[in-house]
Amino acid sequence: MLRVAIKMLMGDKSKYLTLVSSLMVVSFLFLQQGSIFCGLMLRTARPVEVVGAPIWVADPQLRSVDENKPLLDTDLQRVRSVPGVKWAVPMILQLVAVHLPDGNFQTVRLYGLDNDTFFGRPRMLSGDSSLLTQDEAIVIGNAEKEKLNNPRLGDILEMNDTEARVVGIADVPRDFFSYPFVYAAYNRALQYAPQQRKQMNYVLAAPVESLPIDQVTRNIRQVTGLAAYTEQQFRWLTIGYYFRNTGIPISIGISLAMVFMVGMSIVGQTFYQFALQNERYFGALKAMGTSSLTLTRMILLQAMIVGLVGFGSGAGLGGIFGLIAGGQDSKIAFATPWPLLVISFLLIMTICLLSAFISIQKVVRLEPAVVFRG
Amino acid sequence: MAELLNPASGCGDPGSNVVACLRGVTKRFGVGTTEVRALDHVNFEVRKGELLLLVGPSGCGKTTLLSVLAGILDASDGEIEAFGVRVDKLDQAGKTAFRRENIGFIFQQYNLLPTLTAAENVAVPLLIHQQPYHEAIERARIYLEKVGLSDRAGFLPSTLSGGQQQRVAIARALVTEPRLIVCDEPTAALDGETGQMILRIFRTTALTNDRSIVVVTHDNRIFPFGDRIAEMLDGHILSIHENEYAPAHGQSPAPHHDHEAPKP
Repeated sequence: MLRVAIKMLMGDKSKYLTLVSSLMVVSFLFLQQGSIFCGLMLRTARPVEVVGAPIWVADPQLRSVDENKPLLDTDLQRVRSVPGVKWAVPMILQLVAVHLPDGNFQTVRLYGLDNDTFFGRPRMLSGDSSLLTQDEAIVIGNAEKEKLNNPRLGDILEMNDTEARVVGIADVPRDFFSYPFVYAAYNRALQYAPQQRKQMNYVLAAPVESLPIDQVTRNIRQVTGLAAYTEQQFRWLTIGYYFRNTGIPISIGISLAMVFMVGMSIVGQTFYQFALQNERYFGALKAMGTSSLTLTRMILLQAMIVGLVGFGSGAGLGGIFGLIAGGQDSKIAFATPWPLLVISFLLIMTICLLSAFISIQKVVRLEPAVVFRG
Repeated sequence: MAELLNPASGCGDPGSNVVACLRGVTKRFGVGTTEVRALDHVNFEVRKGELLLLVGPSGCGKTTLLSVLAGILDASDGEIEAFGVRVDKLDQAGKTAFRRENIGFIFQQYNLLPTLTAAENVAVPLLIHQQPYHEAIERARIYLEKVGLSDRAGFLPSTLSGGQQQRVAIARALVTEPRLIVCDEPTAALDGETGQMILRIFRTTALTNDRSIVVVTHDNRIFPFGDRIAEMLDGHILSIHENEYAPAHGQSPAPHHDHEAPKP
């Protein structure tokens, strides 16, 4: 009888296409809105990802990577002395204003990298990061560099009344705020950043191979009283901060709720109409001895088929949208992690099953004697 | 009225000539001042291997009687017995199983699933019996051949004429070899000649293996085909006539045989 159910569904091409296309649009909108949300949230953690440090040590009150809560210079030595720490280097990460040749100011994200190792330097597209040892040398990120008037190698920018010469262009993805990234040696960065009593705001560290990283971060917290995070923990700390403190989840959530309601009403109505149109056939099947359980299975199968086809089409459309409009260098933040696919699939199936439930109620309560009514 | 049902007829007993009977069956619709008695203490029996015609004016309760007999509508009062089973005592699942095993249905509007081919429509009762699809289709083709439609097996109902669709419906009703077939106005949507052909198929093909057929009809042109004709009025059975002109099983009546509708 399941084969009969499939033929009943697909034989009514207009209803079938209405159901599938409705679900396709709903799942596309789910995935598109969800992917933009995930893309935005993941971009908040870009400043952490681009460094690639196993352990981040910061002020215990710090709530995200974008906050500036400097540490004492002595904290670097304290971290280095913690059992299980293989190495530790200082880093400055601050927002500073660049004075552009046209007189405008542009905020950039300034990384001051350890003078000796340049740990955290990005992959270069042009120039050479080893030139950061030179006076006034900086490397700028490729993304958003148009906000700095597309400087070329050798061009001079000005930060904190100090000249900086571009020695390289690096491959750096866009972040949440769309700030250009600027890299300098730690000592040079101290000159570019506004003067404060304390300047260093992160210590980057790595664990020895023989100890699990969680134990080493625990050791750092216990010994120094500072906050210590693995890269993943620090990413999620930052993402969580923006999740809680911006209106993005609510805005996207409202959009998704509206998509759900519109999808539910369209699919529910179409399914119900499908049941109504097929009432006498369902009645005939009941009269001929089809049990309510079998009819329920038939309707559930129909719902699952349109759900799967609709979701598959919508996901495909979302994927194409992501390929065209998304990507690391795109201005549109777009990321589709697998949990988003799972959630979207479950939401689509929920719409289908709720719609099917309405039809099932109708069909199960249907008196088979309806077939003898004119 | 009591003579219409012989209490000693042995309804459902082994060796009995009666396969189904209704005793004092009442069916009410609505309540209070809006109550309507579609059937009022009806006693009625169906004999083995007969073609019984139920006739009467619109609204007299023919279709209700057919529905109650077939177990697709619950009676308000009275007893319904068929093939030794007290149908009125069965729960809904029991009635569904009873219909599946014993009853074939033929409807005025055919009720063929429009997206299935003729063979698939005929195979539906077998699929309900959980027969494998390909076996069911093979068997369906045999029954389509019996009603003269072997060359239409792959056609959708919308491409068939009314008479052909009703023949598909007959094949569908026969395919599980039920012991009783109930038909509601099977010729109402057909022209006279096609209607007579349908009834000829009933007599020559369906009325075999002691199968009984109950036909609700307004169509007096098909009266010659019935073994008995039961007349209904206002929820009662007025009379049941033996049809002296009824052809023998496996045969159809002589063409152009005039037969008047029984008068109430």
